[in-house]
Amino acid sequence: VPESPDLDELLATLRARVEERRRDAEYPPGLEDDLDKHYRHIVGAHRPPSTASLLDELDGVRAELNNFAFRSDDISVESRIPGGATVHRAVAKTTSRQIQGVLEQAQRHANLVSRTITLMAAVSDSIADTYDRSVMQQLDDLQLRLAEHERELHRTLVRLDDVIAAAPGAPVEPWYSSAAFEERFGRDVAGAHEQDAELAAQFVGCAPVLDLAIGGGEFLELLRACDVDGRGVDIDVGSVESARNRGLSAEVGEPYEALRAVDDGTLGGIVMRNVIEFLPPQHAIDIVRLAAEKLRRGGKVLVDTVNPASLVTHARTLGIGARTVRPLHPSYLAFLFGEAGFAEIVHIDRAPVADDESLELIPGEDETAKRLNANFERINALLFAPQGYAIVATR
Amino acid sequence: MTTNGTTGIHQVLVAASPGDAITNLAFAIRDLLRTLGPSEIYARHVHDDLRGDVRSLLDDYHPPHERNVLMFHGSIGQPDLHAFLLGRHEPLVLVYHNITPAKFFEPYNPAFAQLLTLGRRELAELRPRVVASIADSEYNARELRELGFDDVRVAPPLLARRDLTTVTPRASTINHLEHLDAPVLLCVAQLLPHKRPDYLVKAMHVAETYLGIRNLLLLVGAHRMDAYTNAIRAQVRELHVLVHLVGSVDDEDLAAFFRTASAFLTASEHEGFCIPLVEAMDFGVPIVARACGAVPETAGDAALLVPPHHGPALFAEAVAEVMDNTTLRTTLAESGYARRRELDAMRPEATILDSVLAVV
Repeated sequence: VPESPDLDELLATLRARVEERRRDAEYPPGLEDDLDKHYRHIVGAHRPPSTASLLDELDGVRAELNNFAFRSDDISVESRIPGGATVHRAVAKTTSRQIQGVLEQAQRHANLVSRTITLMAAVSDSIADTYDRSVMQQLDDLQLRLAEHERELHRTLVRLDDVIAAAPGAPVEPWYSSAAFEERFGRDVAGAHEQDAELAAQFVGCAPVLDLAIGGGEFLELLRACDVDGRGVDIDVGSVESARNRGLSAEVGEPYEALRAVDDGTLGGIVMRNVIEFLPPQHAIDIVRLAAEKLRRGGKVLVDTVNPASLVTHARTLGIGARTVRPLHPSYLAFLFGEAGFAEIVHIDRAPVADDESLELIPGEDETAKRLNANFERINALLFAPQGYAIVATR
Repeated sequence: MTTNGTTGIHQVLVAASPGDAITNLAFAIRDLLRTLGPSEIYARHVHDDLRGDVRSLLDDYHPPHERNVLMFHGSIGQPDLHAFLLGRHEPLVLVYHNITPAKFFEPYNPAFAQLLTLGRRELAELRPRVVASIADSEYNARELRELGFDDVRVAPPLLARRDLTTVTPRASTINHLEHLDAPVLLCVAQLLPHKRPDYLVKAMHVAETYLGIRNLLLLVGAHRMDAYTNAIRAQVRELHVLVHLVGSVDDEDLAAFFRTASAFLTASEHEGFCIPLVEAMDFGVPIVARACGAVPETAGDAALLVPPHHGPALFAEAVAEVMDNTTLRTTLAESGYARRRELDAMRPEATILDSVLAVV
């Protein structure tokens, strides 16, 4: 078992280490002074001495004055001339009575000076004290009123927080790890990657592209593979760090605010994958018009979202996850893009349901089989429509 | 209001507000005093949420006789309260939490600095009225004795202390901190000048720039002074250090911070006791601190104490050593547990009761 270190010895070692670093110029000369100067510069602390420190100094000098005593034995009798000291001592002895008289007068005078200064200090203290108490009382009353206003503001903010928390799409902080969630509910949809690559290829010539929720950063990587300059935001710090570690341009941000911060007409592409269904209702429709403002003519926006027109989506997808999902019907979203002035609006099915999961058609060509199959197809179209859809709209 | 003929022992505060350390201590002392008889808390300023539980000093204190004992918690100046105490004749017991020297606040809030100066002046004026004094630490007791107070006893302010180790830490906070790529250093203190967070920021700069050590320092505690908070923010930004000004947190987050912290740091230059040190000891978190005020007395052997006159270079070296030296970490953690037991053995409740009973 290693012996417990002696803290004093350890501290001495650390001190020596610091000195060694100074000697070896590992620390630049005057490092700590420079850090102090830097901080003082920030504070702007080039001020005259404070009243409190002047009073402290005055107290010290007054104490010294009060304790000062004139003493004859403090008068030097030393001399450089041989025998001079003897002469001085003799003179001092001869004149000691007169010297003592002078010293006593000086002492009395000094006592008077000391008392005068003490009284002057007491008078100024008394004036300052009266003034202080009056000012402090007013200040105290003001602080009390300020505290009341702050409390009222705090109550309002608490109520505001409650309202925000109750709104659809309000931010939620899950206590579980996102990795555990992904492990349990994340799934690969067959053919999704290939389809994503095709979607990314549509942005060739549309740089710069802003991805409003990078997630794992896959779409930014696909854009990079197409030589399209793209950057992204995400509200999840971990996703942003992971994307940056892979050399992607990403920062933490909320999608609506990130888009709003962009200058009008400066983007060539906007990507919203799994974004619009999580926005508050007003933002969900406003972001379409905002996209129109931020894109230059010919720019494209991709919205990839869940399909509420498929009943299997409701059964399998919605309700998994902490955040409130408010899907937009594909017809309504297409309507919004049209109203926002987009020239071309293309609908793309996403995440199709596997053939063996939908109702199987019965064999046969007779009338009964045809009618039953027609019914099955209508039911399949309603129940097992693709679970997602994308809209690519061109400005 | 005392309405019967029994002697009451009542506490007097400048301000009572939820979560405030002195208010919490006053509640704990009231529970203790009520084992002896009537006991209420009166404050010059009472937060709305505490009305009913804490009474207004100027409106509600009307004893029918003067057989009560008053216990005054001193920490800042307040002219009304001071005039009240000077005008009463009840025996006065002083509980001294220390008054921060005004010089720390002069560059940022001269008005507040004036209140502190006033507090010290009022304390000296109260001396003839005080029949017994209780100090949070020997450091505070020395200050009182130097002002001429007699019969000063020491009772660490641990009566109202919450035991954070029994609080379930917030899982999302722990999860977030555990996934950071830098070890977490923790400082728990209100963001105020005498706590010297600027010194810690300088030490972090030295550690990162010249020792090549990258840690995340969390400065946890209320931001009470905008001018000061802005100065620290600017310092962090301009020195490019990994320091996060967290602000106030609830107990669940605080427990999460202590659970994940690799070391607890304080550069405070003025402490009457320093409860966060005790919390760090509870969690076995090694402590690096400056040997100022009551810090050495509170920490005992449970901290690597950097002498006050040394700059941030030595502090950074001490932090690096604590992060790197496993034996030292174990020693400091074990010394912390031992110091915790010593503090508990001081039984502050007995000291408080003894002081009060001596004057009743």
